[in-house]
Amino acid sequence: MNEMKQMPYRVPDGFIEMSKIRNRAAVRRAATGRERLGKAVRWAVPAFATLAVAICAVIYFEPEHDRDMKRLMAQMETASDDVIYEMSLEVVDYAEDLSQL
Amino acid sequence: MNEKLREADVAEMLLNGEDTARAFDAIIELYSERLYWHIRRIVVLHEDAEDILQDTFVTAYLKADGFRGGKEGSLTGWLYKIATNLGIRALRRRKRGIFSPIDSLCGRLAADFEGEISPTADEIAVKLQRAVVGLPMKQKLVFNLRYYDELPFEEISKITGQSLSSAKTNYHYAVQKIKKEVSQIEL
Repeated sequence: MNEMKQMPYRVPDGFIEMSKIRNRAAVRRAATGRERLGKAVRWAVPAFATLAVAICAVIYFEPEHDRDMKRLMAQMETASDDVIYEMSLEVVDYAEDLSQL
Repeated sequence: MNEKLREADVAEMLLNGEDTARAFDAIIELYSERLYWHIRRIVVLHEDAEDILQDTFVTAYLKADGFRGGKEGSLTGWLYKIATNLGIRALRRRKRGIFSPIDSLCGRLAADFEGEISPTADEIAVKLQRAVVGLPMKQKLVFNLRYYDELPFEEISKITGQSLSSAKTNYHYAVQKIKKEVSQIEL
């Protein structure tokens, strides 16, 4: 800056040099914070993957009779009486007992 | 080593992503004074400028991956853009209504300036800065970047988000207004 471009503001003595020190420290803190975040993400990804696999396993290994019951209930919604009877025979072990109802 | 070469070296270090921490040591050394004054001319108050300067370096560090260099802009332009945005954001927080324009702060900035004048300041520099502080923000930014920071209009256009012709027009209007108030200064 030339003489004309000098700024007429008050500035504490030695401010620029002090601010360089403070700002380098602030950038180092930001770097450390980002590194910690990076580590957290590196831990979080496998943890999340493990959790997702566990949830999938629970869904997949859902007790078989629960799934049959749900399927049957869904079909019952719209089925006629004859069809209901036929479907019942497929999933109930003692069909002859059911026919007496 | 002159400043332009050093800027190019630092930009290269950032683009290579080899040693970002070392690059930022150099950036802080090279740009602290320039950016401080750029921010100070926007927000006027020293404490605000000090905080925003630090935010500028930290933000730049955290967004270093976003620096592309080359045709997308120089390192100087990239840093000035971050500093300008943070300065404007700080001013937005100062104004009263959400919908009131940022130029509604002109009076307050002018009052702040009167309290920030150095007792040893040159009288003409005070008159000039008093006129600059009173400019609308778009004109003020362009004027400061051109007159004080001596940046090319292409760079100013990228920093302020104005078209090249708007930047030149705003500079022209700014100079006219300042000349009215400070007729003895050759701009």
